[in-house]
Amino acid sequence: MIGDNTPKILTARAGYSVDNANDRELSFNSEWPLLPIEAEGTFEVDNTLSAPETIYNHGLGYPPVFKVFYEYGGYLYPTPDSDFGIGITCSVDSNNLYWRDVWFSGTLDLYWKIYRRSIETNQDLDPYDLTAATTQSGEQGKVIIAMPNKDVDDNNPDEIVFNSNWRQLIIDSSKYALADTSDPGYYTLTINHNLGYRPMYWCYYKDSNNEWRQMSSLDVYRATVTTTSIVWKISVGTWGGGAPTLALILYKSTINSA
Amino acid sequence: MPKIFDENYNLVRVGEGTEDVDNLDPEDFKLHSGFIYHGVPKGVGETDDLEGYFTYTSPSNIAANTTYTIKTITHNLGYEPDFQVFIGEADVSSNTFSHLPYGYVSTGLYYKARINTTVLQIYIDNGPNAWSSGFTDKDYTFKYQIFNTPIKGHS
Repeated sequence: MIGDNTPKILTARAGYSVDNANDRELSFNSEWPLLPIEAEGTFEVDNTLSAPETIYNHGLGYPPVFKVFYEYGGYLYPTPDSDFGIGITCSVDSNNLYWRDVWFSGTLDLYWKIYRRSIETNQDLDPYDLTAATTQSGEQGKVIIAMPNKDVDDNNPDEIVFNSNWRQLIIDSSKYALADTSDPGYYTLTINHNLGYRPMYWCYYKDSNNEWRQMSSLDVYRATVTTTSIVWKISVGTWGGGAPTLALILYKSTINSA
Repeated sequence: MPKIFDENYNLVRVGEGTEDVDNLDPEDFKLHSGFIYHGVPKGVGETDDLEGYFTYTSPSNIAANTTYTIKTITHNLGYEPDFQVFIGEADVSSNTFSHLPYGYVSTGLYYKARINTTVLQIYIDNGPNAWSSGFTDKDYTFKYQIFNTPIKGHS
């Protein structure tokens, strides 16, 4: 909590002051983790590949959080996209990022990012002040960090490491565990977040190779999210296998109170 | 070079608690200038806000093999930025909140999002089945964020 006499570094988003900002108005709090990008790259998929193909040897010693997009027809799309045939295509273990889709026969470029954070992280931070944000205006100081050899005054957002005026992707909590089987129709993983709004999140599951993959988003694989909890639910009948190990990362992503 | 993290770029390092930052592992830093973090830019020439919330009602008829644009957000960043979009099915099932692409099994009906160097487009991508009930005239909510980081990475 702000004002709890614990030493910390705070920055507020554009238009707010740390003197009276609530948690929604801050862009950084040294008690909150961000999601640092460790590595990024591209990988061309074609029908000569035989899975698994190692895309990148990260060597972190743990399975890192990752994200993959694909390019088609002049647009970039997030994966997994089972409709297009780019399903749950990539996976990570403690050493590598892999291409794992043996059925895809087209040619595409994938773009991936690996983050310096283990998927296997259980973290539950203290509750936050849920006072609704109020609009303020006026100039303020700010903290901007550019990439090496780049200028913060160039106004190139892709070269900015951190800008305190901007909302950051801040992690609220994360959990990984063997799915709960108490509901006979669904495998579930629950986090009680008590944020007061429905947070954005990322979800992963562990496959039969003990590698982590991103979950698809379907009416049979989806989350029930309230202002106090998130329950990731997988239809047992559709899943077809035993109870999976699941992982969730929740973000402090209040855009409005919905 | 795939690796972004530059351990030697020590311009700013923020740890937690009383531990000396020189003793911390990279995972322990709350902020380290050698990394890059996802932020939602403001004041960088964008036409529309780069994060937002809106509601949408699906068409009263959804034709087969047809796409329907739900919303176009103009970011004008000049490159393809990372993004995320979530859908809430206000009518179909309360409290569902799912990332795009989101689909209904065995229907061919998907809600999707894609981005290029100027716009984020959120749309319905319907397959071979036409719909006049079930998925039509339904209320949805969407949340989106467009980040500063390029999907294609830093050259």
